[in-house]
Amino acid sequence: MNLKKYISILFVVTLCLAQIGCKKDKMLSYNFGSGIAIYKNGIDEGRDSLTVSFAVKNETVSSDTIELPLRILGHLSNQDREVKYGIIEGETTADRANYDLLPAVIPANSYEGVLRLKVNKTESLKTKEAKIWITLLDSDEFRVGPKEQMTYLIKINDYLTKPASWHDIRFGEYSQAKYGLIIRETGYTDFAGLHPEVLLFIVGKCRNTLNEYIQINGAEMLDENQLPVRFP
Amino acid sequence: MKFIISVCSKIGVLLFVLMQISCYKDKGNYDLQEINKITILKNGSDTLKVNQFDSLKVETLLEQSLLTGEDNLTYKWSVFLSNPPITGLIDEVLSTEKNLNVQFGLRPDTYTLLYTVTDKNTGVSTFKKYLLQVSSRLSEGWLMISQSNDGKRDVGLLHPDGYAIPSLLSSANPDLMIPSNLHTVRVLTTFFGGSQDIFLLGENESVRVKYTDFTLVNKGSDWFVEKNLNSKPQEFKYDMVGSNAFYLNNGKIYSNQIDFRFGVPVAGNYRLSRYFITSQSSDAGIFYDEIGKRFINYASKKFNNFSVQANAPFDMSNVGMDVMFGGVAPMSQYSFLMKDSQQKAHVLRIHSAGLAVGKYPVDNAEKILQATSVAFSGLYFHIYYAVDNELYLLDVEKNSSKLIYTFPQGTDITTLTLKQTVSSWVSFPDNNRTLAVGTYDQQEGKVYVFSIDNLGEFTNDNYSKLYEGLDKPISLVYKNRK
Repeated sequence: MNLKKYISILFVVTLCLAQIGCKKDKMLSYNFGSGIAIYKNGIDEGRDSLTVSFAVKNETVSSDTIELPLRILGHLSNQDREVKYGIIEGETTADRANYDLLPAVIPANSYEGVLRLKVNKTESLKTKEAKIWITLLDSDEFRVGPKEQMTYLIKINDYLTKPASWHDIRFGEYSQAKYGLIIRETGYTDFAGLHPEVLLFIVGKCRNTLNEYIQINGAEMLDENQLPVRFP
Repeated sequence: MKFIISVCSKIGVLLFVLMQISCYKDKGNYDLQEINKITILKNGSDTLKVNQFDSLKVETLLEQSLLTGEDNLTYKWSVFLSNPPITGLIDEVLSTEKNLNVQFGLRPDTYTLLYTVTDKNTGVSTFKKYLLQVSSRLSEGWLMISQSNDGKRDVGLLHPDGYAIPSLLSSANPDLMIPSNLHTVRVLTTFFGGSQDIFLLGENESVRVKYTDFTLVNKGSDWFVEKNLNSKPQEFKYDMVGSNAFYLNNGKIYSNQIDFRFGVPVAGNYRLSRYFITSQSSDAGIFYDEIGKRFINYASKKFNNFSVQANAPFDMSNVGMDVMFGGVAPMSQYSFLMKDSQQKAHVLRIHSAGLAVGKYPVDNAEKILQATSVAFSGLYFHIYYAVDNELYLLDVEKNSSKLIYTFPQGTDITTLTLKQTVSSWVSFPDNNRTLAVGTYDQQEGKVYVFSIDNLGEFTNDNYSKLYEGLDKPISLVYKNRK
């Protein structure tokens, strides 16, 4: 008897609790403003840094514009929103004349935008590479997103730097002189994804020039370290 | 506890009984039944030869050990390549009838034809293999460049069965401008899958055609990474293994792995002779510089020094003679017929490793300096040479020559070629033993085919085959069956 009473009480309590579960809840939403981040996976030249070398460009080129993709976190907006950014003072070695920070905007109804930075060729780049550290800044519109996606390094110079796609097996040890020779003779500056027949062509073409150099000068061409330029 | 013990003991007893059963001795007293055995009896040859697109018929004789009638049998005729390539495998079922009667459309090659007979009752199959050689009308024969009366050149095929198929190139490619002054055909075999590539070289342009139907694959201008401005094709070779290609153009050598486009040749003041020997299987060869009058050791797209050779018969780097002709010599060597500054002829023999093998004076050979066509034997140290209507045999080691055949007066020998393999994958039973001679009497071109005996002379002192009614023969090369 006692047990039966106990069960019925339990039943009523459970029923009451079940009713509460039917109460409609208001939807929770993230509403702490939008975040902004550099979309590093979208940068082909490198996730964390890229190099601009004026040496591989035409003589007449005096500036270049770098585009970094941006992505927002949070809600869309129906109007254009400006992204604030700047350089990290202590880390940046470039002169003020080396760069111009162009406005960065997230267009209306878009999750993505582009940060444009103009880099300028100056005399000092011929001897020293300049670093520009970009960092996103908090603004009324955006708060800076993940820490590891708020900064980016851009290196600029006017001498040749070893490209990531340099082919050690075909070209041998890297030197500025050798890279310059390849660019002058064949026009290739990037060797990624080239068919072996093209790499062989590059080597053949440069070898002929080196042989010609020996014929004319009676000695091998030397690189910046005073070592002979040779292809294996 | 008592309960558990009682259950365990019962399981124990049961297991013990089961174990006893396994000790039961098998007396092998089964009810065995012999199954129906099928035998495929021999009916004609096991080697079948057909031309592509011809009907392929095979009738089979079957014998069954128990049953009569053939209702219980199913059949399958399948075909696959005898030497399966790395890519492009062929494995097809041609028919499921007892006797094979189909039109065979697969490309000319050597196949294994597999006949499978299965007894539906038992599921047991019996097999028989046939060797199936598929040719086309164009699969084998002498490829000849000929020139018609109006000066136009074309390529024809002289089939071993005795008929000639003229104007192959123009009929396969009606829209193609045939390279002017076509002078050389090369039939080369590749390493990868052993396929065949055909190259035709003209005065300023060359083309590559398909070996099956002679339609255009591409032109010489497509063979370079950088546009080649000075197109003067002279020679095209593969190494013996068929992995590297060598293209001599305007006295410069272009080489690369096959089907790679060519880069740039070594620059410099030299002009390589069209006669050269390549290495067996690498991007290397020995060439002759007609300006510096010396041999050149070419490897990995560079000119290298020859290794120092003690007691060398001559100095590879300082020869000082002019090349007249060149060609193979026995033991994978190469001979050059040369003349020195006193207009005296010599034969220089070299090895592909860059070694000087021998230098032989040729001062007893009649009219050798007037020779217009020459063929070098790879079997004996012999050279066949033609002067007007006369055909001579030069025995280099004996330093003597002999007139071995005279064509009618007013007939000129225009070309001379030995049937010779240029690939490790191709062998002829009559390698170096068949000589084709093209002649022209200002009216009609003819090709005489001679068999060569053990002395290097012609069997029965006469030709064994004659193709008549041709245009003027310019050059000949044997296309191996494919």
